[in-house]
Amino acid sequence: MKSNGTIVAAVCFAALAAFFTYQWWFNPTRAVQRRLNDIAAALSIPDPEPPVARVTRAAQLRKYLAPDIRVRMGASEIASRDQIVGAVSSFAAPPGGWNVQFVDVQIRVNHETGEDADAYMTVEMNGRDAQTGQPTVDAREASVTLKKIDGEWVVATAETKNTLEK
Amino acid sequence: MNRAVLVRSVILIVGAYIVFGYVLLPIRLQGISMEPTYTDGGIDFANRLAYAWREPQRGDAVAIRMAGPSVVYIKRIVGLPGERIEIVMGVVSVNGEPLVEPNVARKSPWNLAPVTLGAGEYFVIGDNRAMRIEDHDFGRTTRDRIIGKMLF
Repeated sequence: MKSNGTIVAAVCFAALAAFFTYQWWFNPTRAVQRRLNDIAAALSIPDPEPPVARVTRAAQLRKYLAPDIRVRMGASEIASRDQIVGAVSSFAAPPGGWNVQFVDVQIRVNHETGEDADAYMTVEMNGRDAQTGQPTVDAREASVTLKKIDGEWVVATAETKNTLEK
Repeated sequence: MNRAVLVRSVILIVGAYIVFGYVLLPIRLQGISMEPTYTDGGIDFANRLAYAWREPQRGDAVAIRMAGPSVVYIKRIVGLPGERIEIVMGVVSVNGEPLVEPNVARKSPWNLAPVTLGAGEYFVIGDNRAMRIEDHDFGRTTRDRIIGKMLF
């Protein structure tokens, strides 16, 4: 009886451990969330940022973008990974740095293929006004599609959306 | 004695969780688009039950969600479903009639071509019309995005 109880407890523990391991490491939704967090970190600019750190950050960002990525912001569209990385790495952050966060992220993975996903979120950008030094915040809704290339989730398309339509 | 404290603490925690999770959404105000009514850095709450039994009204200051409730716009409703909204030299007109806006202190000469709202659409603007129109987010939103009425 006692040994049966021990076995049941061990099986329950193993099942729980397997569940949490799956949730943390292998669940595709969590993998996409982790990748989005990586991208937000790569888009954030610390202050001060040494030139070497800037190059490293741009290289990291490049890894997270598909070669044929398309980014649409309003009427303008960029369809070149090099152009995006170049624009991000040359962006002059305001004094105090620039912090990007993805909040209210809703992720949907295509479970049939397991190779593509889309995410809908609010992109929040915090910085400081260059003149007054006061904190500033800007936010935009964004839709992102991701696909798996060589086992890594990369951004295939990104588009910002206006919450209020004129 | 200790048990009473524990019970009170649990009731307080559960009550706060329900009130601030489902009824009153705490909001830290950032930006100047609703000045002078709401100033940058203030704290307010959006009452999520305000529109449980009635629809949003003209003049209501409301919280409008983006992708979710973590980041919201605070704006004032000027247009209701089916109405035609137009702005000429800073004056908002509803179905051709100039709107009286007691919360707006100064008006820049904004212009906006007539917009007819569809079913379930509301037109919202901030109170700070002294801003440049290009710097001010305003326009149409839908009923499902309005998550509550500002409490204060």
